[in-house]
Amino acid sequence: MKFRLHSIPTGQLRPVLGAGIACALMAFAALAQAGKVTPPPLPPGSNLVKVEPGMDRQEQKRADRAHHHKGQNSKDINKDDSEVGNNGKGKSK
Amino acid sequence: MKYFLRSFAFAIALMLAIGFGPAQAQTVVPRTLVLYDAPPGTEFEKLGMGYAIMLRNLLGHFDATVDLVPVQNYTAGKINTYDATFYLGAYYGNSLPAAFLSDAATTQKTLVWFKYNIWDLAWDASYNFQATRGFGFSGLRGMNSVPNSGNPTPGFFDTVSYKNKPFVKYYQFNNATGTVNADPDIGVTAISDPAKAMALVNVSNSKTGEVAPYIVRSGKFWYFADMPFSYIGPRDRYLVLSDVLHDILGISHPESHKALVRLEDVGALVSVQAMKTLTDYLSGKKIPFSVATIPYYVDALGAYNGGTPQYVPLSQATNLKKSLDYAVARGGEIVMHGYTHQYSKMKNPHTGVSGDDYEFWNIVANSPVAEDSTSWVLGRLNAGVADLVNNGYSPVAWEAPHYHGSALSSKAASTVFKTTYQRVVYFTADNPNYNAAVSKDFGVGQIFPYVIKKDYYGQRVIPESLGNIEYDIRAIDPTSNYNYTWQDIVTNAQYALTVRDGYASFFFHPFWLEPEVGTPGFADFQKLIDAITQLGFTWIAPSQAQ
Repeated sequence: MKFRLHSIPTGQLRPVLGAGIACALMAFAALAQAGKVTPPPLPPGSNLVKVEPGMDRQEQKRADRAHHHKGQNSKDINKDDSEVGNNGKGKSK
Repeated sequence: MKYFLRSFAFAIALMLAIGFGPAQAQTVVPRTLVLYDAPPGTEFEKLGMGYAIMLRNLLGHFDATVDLVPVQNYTAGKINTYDATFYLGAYYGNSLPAAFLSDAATTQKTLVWFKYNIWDLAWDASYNFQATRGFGFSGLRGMNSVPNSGNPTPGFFDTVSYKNKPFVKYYQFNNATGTVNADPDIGVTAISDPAKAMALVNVSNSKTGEVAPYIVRSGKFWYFADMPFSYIGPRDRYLVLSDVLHDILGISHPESHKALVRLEDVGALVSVQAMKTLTDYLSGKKIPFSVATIPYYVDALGAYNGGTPQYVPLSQATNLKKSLDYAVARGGEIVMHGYTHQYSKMKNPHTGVSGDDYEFWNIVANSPVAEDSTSWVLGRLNAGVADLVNNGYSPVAWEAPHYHGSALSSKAASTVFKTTYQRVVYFTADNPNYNAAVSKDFGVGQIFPYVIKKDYYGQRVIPESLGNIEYDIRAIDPTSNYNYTWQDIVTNAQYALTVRDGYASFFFHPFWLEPEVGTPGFADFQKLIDAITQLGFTWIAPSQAQ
């Protein structure tokens, strides 16, 4: 089986990883057999990894905010704070 | 110069020969198959289904028909009956049917493979994978070493480079438990025949400086080194997939960037002054906008009313109606944001007050509410719509409180509203069991970068893709306890530009203009609007989103 280490079009493949891949690929190609293959080893620390689908933790919290402040206690919902001198607090008469 | 031209002509000829040419506009509806790992009897049997739902939703942007099938149910020849097949390798070492592997090795149809189990194809000599596809697979890489309290971030291939932007994958080490919230593994590949295959996108290891292919294309066969549906966010590599899907399906939506702004959680307590200020500003700039409106104000426990429960129907919410009338007269559209935006007579989880709590999900128990049913949901939605209509307002879309409703509520909403306008949580079962030892369920929150014509629950979804400005005012509101600046939102918008038809869509609470809060809400809002405009986005109303 022929194998040629490519250079990624952007030219960004680092020699260290590229050489490693080349050796590994040639070794695996030589060992490959028809039928079920043995999976590659899991990376270090894989047993500690907790994968969750969907949004990350910060994004999950983003829509969770409630927005109130103490000034809204007993707020008069009919008192228009856009009218001059009226801050919306207290009961309207 | 002559050499350059010759090289350029050769490169173009090569790209066309192996199928890298520009995508052609497609008039037919793509028929797609999503295969996912679902190893029976395991804790993570449904993890792949969660990813499959997310992919299914993105395919909804292209109006595709999507069949979701556990890979073990694959039958010979199925790939060749679809325009495109996606295999989500979510479970390391999952046993793949020989019929699938055999078809994957020979199909001339589009096949996209994500992450794990590619070795079953690439390392089995009978499939002649490397010679056929022009690239090989060498193994997995994940964290550079085992993390611990002394070295919590050992590094991994964490940065996907695309359209001159770094998309950094999420990573969080929990020092207390020693666990890692991340998805660090990638499948490492290398091109062996550049005439057949090309690495379109790369991923780098920010600690070691190594770079590896992230997306490899060999004609109609695509390999993603990663599963871009975990720990997603507005600057995540999920956006890369969202954009590249156009190329995979051969549907070349033109470069187009729209922006949406929504004024959030507007209910009976709203400040008319804040709403008038924001409305005047937006209408002065001829920027369409929407108002996420809570029709019926409930303070079930009297949290803000001296312990006396308070109920205010829209007909009696004078300030709310004044605010809506003012906004609608100046281009504002109404989005119905729950019926009461709280649930029953309990803290769910904050106060039991409209705008604070979840309505269609029991967040305390993390389960559907006791009454959850289609008829119960429809009763509330129809009551809300009736309140709005009877007071002269026509809602153009639905938005679930806190973006979190049960599966039944989302399905029901799609029968009342033509459009939802939000992020959405999807479930691997209508009544999920998150703690099952075997086949536990997942709730999957998804952000959309563009309009989804039909999602997993049948909804048409307008995106909210950027988030919202937040200030840390914990001294007067303990739940508002972190900062998320207008500059953060602008950065998110810059990432949204990497998706060819990506939206810049955010929301803003008029609350931030109230003097008691003491934040520069209005000034920051204006800066944000200006910055998004300067990025080249075109402001539209929700009813104009296509």
